Amino acid sequence: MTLTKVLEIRNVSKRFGATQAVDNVTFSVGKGEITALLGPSGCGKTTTLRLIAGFETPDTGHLLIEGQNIAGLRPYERSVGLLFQDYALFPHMTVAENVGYGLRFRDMSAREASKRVEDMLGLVKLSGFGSRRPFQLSGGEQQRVALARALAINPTLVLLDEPLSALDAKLRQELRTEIKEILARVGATTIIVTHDQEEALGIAERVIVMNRGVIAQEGSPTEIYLRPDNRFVAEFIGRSNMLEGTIIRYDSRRARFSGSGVELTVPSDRMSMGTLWACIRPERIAVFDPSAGAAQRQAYDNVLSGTVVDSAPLAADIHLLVQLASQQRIAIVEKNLGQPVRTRGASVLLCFNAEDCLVVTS
Amino acid sequence: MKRLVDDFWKSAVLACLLLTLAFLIGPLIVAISMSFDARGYLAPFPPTSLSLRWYASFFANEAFISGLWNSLILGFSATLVSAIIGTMAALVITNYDFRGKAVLSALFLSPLMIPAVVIGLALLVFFSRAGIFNGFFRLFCAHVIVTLPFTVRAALASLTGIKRSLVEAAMSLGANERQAFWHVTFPIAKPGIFAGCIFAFAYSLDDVAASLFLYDTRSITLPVALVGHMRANFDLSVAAATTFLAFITVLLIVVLDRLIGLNRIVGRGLYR
Repeated sequence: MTLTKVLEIRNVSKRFGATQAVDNVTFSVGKGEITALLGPSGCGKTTTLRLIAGFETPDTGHLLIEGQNIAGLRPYERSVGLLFQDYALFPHMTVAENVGYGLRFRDMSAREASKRVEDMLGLVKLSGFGSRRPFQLSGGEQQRVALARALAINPTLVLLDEPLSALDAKLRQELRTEIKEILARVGATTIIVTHDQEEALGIAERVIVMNRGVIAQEGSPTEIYLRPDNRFVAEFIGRSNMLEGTIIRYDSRRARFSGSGVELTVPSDRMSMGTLWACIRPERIAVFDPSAGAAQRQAYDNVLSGTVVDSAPLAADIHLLVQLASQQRIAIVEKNLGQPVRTRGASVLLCFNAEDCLVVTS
Repeated sequence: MKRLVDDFWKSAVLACLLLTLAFLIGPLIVAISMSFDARGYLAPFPPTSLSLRWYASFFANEAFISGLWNSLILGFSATLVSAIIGTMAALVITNYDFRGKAVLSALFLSPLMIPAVVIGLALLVFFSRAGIFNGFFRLFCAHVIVTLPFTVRAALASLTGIKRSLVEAAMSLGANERQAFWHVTFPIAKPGIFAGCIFAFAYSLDDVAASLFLYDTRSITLPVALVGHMRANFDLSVAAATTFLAFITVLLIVVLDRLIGLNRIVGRGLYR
């Protein structure tokens, strides 16, 4: 599927004093697509957002919206709707005035404008809230007003800055679904900037992971979790056990990885010289008692033995921490299906297949 | 035992509070009640009977009335100009980073640290060198300078409370810098700026120290006229004048609070 490119960023760099905030970043966003810029604080994602919105000017590179170079345009000359992290609702205006603010600058009669405000409030399920003041609303309601305000101007591109970070855990989940529905309904081309992977993976169709000003990986949420390109992405997305080592031999299908006191069979599709990391996701490891039958063991490529250091039954999941003979600790997540609790000090076998190990470079 | 100590401190603090209050309000009560004294000479407190004769003599005194007008015109014009300059200075200080920023803000606040007498004398020397002899203009300049710390500080306090994202939100929605200022920044900062204006106006209405050096025969302000009157023949029309001045200031505060107070309550909502 080829999409019309709404936003194109080509070799954009931005430096603040001694810090290279954004370093030669290139990506594009297709029409109607929801893309997340994900990374830890200081990775350059917020600077990228501010560059797109026009609050910062790039040192080098090109920014294009629908093929038009926007580098020289002021924020109000770009058709970019912004949802701020703190919502930035105007405290001296009513909800309706807030939502309608952007329409003052568009060619629109008063009747059209108030109709549009009504429609927008309906879209975010706040019809009848028009005459209230922002401080009379809950956090979630304020956020929906801010979203309605950003969408009211019918922007070419919508930018969401950490949209859920100011809300508590339960509300986050609700609003995540709601934001997704609203964006889908208006078909808005959207970029979400966040440090929270749940927010990024939960809303976006495509994720761009950033680290230290550069793009670490770009792909679908499933891709970046299952096939991380490098150690940073493997560690940043989800939980993982990272074992340092080298490849000691390999053939066309399988390779032997050695390091951190273990030897593992891993797939041989991503071989390279020097230090590598084997990344094993905690939920990919099956745990057995040492008394388990040989047939059971032989079903797996890798079997490690260790002792339970910690067992935490966290509602739906049980988090286990197992220490190997080499002192290396391995985290495991098991589904809580009512199996007997593994006590501290119990001996266990950790079993997983070659395909459950991802070999990544640093 | 501990309880006793606590009680002692509690009563000590309360006593201090009452004493402070007494020092603040006591003289005011004396001045106000004496201004209604019916006796025709400076008699001991309290007044034995009440009348408005001192008010009549205050309003009959042409020097006082023209002084009052001068003071009001001067107060309003100096406050207006001081508020505009102060707000613009505060905008620059809050929005831009530049060398000497700390020096600039200290400079704007410095008239508060320099005695008004020094400012008056300095301006007198400056104006006579510059050949400016118009009394009203000289007073106007002096009053703008001495009131600037109030307007700058109030504007700074209310502008720094405004989050940058509010202005950026306005701009992302299509407002240019000027529109963003008038639609967002100014309405939110307004209560604070007005509060600064009240202080500035009250200070201007009150000032003797700087004004004494700079007035001419056609621009005598009320406080200056009162000082002159006190020197020549001390009577209770001075008490009537001060009561009247205090009344004007209180009235102004009440009116301004009614006009913008509601706004202030609403504005506070987002800064919880």
